[in-house]
Amino acid sequence: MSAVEDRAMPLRRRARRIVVFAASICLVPAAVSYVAAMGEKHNVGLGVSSVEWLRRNGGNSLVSEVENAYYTLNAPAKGGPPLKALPNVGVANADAEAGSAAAPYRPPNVKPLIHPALPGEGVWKKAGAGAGARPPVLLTTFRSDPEYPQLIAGVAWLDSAQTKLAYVPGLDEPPEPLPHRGPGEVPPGSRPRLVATFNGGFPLETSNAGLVYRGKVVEAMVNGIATVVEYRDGRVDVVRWHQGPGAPADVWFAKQNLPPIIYEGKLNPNLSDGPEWGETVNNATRVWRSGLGVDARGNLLYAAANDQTVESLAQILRRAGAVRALELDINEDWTSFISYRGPGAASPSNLLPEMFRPAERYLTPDERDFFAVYVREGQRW
Amino acid sequence: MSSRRRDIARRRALLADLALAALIAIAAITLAAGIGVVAVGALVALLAVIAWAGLESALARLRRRSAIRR
Repeated sequence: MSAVEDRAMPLRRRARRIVVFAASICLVPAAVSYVAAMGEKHNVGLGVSSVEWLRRNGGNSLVSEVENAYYTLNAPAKGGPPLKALPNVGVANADAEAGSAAAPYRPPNVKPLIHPALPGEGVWKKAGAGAGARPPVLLTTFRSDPEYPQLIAGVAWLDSAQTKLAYVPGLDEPPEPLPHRGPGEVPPGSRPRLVATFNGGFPLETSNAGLVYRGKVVEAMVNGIATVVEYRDGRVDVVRWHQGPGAPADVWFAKQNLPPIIYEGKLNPNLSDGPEWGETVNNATRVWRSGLGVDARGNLLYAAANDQTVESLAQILRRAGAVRALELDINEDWTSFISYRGPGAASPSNLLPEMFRPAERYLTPDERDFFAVYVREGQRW
Repeated sequence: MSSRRRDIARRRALLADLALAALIAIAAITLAAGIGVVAVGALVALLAVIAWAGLESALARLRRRSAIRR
């Protein structure tokens, strides 16, 4: 460099100028991508959409690190004053009409962990107002951790003999092109039989797992990963996948998410962090978490609660009767279980009142994929 | 030195800086995991430069003031 240039502009100023130019050039394609993404249809706020854009564009581990730091700093305190009541869930005790029918199966109530138990703690209640003696969906809440007596877990039981599970793609998830993506919401024509909806699993990009939709492979299946599977005959199960990357002929949909958290009645011994759990919030970080399992009779159990680790979530599901289970979505923005009190998606209600997203979430287009639960043909709503 | 020669030198320096910045940007976009990470890195770099420039001008002002007092 000549003396003339040195006098004109010191080196450090030139270095700064180069950084400003380089950063500005980098921001042009990023801004184009960001503006295009924000211009799409969303039903979450700009902040959440921005984080999702960052995750999809190579920033997943960065976001997870920031989330870990945030949730660690805001971890709940142990103890605290005892709760006096649990939130109201459901419409009536499930055994209210038990005498009127030929003893349909009901899951045993969840045994409270903290004594004295609060009124209704662990007692199953019907989700639907007119559900009769054999309700397809039961709900309950209980305090799930004696060290954190303020935490309340919500659990739903879905009678597999009476209900049918459907996987519903969202507007953005899965991102692969689908021949039958649908509107990203519960189709209006299916709402008369709708009894519940709940969140799906991690986005495919972050779960490193597979998806089969309508019998076709959307993303190659991965052996050893926990999978919600519906067979063509309507049976639903939670399994550890071992059938290779393709779609077996009898599978209608299969959604994978991380390793099983409960398998054959036992908690996964590797629930502490490790590479098998992917790039996500640490397993030991307390955050909203949700999971899905099956009981010994093949009925589905959904559980969600705030400030849970993966292990405490697994314990909630096992206490509710799950013998196999997987973790579903986490964080307050993605955790939803909604039941409907009457046909036609009437009176939607979140499983827990603290659930962040509105109860109408899946009646409008949603970014993420989710599950819808319908009463089977010929079954009473 | 004539102002014309100084002007030409300034323009050359600007062009060289732009070319170097473009190379850095292309390398960052190519090597990064995604455009989101590039955007975060670029924003952090811009903030750092603003802080650096601000600190430098504040220090210069302080030095000038203390020189006037002496």
